[in-house]
Amino acid sequence: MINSINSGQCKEMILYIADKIIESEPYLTEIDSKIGDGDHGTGMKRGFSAVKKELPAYMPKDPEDVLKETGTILLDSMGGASGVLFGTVFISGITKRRSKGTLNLNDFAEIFRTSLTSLKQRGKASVGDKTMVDAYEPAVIALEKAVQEGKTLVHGFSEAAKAAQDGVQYTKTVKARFGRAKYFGGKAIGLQDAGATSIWIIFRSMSEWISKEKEEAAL
Amino acid sequence: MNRLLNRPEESMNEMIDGYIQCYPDKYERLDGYKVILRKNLEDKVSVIIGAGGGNEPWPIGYVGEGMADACACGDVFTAPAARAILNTLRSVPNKDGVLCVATNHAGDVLNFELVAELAEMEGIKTRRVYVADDITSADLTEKRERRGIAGVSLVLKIAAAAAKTGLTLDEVAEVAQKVSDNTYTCSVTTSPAYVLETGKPAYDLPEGKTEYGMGFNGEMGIERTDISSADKIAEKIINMIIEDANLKKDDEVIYFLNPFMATTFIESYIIAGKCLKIFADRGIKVYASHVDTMFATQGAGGFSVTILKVNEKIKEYYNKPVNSPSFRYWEQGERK
Repeated sequence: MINSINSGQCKEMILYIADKIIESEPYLTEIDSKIGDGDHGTGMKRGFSAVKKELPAYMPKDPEDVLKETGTILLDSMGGASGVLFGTVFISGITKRRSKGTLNLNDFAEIFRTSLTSLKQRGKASVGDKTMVDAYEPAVIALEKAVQEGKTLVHGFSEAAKAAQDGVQYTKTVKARFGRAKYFGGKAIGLQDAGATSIWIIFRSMSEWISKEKEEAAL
Repeated sequence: MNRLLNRPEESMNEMIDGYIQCYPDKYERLDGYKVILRKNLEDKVSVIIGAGGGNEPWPIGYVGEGMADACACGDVFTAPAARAILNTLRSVPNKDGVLCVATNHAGDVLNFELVAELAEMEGIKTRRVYVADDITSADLTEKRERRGIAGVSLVLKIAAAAAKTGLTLDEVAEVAQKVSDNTYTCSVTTSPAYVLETGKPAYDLPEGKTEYGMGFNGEMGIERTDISSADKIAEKIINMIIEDANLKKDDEVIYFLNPFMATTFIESYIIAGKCLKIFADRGIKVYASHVDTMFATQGAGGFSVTILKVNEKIKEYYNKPVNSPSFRYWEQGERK
């Protein structure tokens, strides 16, 4: 049973996310072309391709280091507002932490809660604005709920991935307050947000990787 | 519009190199980044700035003695990259902390805020002040949500002077924030800017029309009207500022007129004189007047007026000398 992950595992998990994001580029591009600038998919692909290239050689002290390096690579390679916002997801949760050397479910819940708070403050967005927050906040709440209920790491991330997916569906029901999508007004209803979709892919990938790791550990 | 460029995408790089070649004793470039640094930096709270190009001579012209110690540039109308800002923070004296001054625009704020966290992990303490002075961009009740424009020149000059007197980082940040909170700017555009890369007008503003409160990247303003006389336009702008800043008889202000590039010296001083006359008529005391192009988009005509409410401390900082090839300032004596 896997209940916490070390820095090596964290690196593998991030590289798994990178593969999934890169695979999803056409899907993200299609979504963003309908309502945004159309560059979200290529931006995410560029960022996570850089992660795939640079992270393997990086020697982290602890899993927090892996998250920081991932965020920094995204920041540098993606540029613009997306680079900062997705960089924030990985960086801002760990800036004031002391590492224990591994991350359990509670650590992940704390890290993502802190980065969610930074993200909302920085992007000035709340749930209902048709942004990545619509997927991210429910995912964090699901992690926290799993912690309270004493659930396993596998279960916590599986719930978080589902909550993020529901969040993506929810973005179809609201109008946008930011970016090009704002000018769509009511025409934005029915279209999903690309940033929220990327958050879902990230959580879904973490969940998949952790479940896979669990099966391998059980063998 | 005919322009003098080589490869448009390299224009910021070429400009930075040219600037440093002109003043090699004063400035150096951070290798591989669009960053310039003053040479021979003192140990104190450093002050850095960052912004895209295109609102000239901000930001590069604001680096100098008694001004910013370094500047991270982005491309034209593009926020500086986070890595450039982080390396700027690493390159200036930073043991006493670093004040970052930028104008309040989403891209700049996002990058500076995230970089502040990365810097803190390395033990570099920062405070960030985002100048928010455009009275037409948000209501007074949301003053700090306003867009940052020409008022940044006063905020920066005063903050840098405060840093030079040896104040702590928190004290310098407090001075900068207070100045930003007391700075009010309003602009009128009389002819359109052009896009540097293409030479095409950046937005549509027909001959004979003026627009109040237009954003520096062509964002829609608050009112478009037929052009009237210099006096009438000055009056409208000043009245908007007086009302927004709630200026009363005997209030004391610094007055700064920022003519855009297509507006001439002759027009500028006609406007400048009329503004001062309105202040005199309303009993508002002008501590200093400053007329210079400090924040203007290529090609645009028009001007902005900035008013800063002052107290004794702010006046003292304002009067400290500065030295930059692109930021003129001279001490002004008592007005009778």
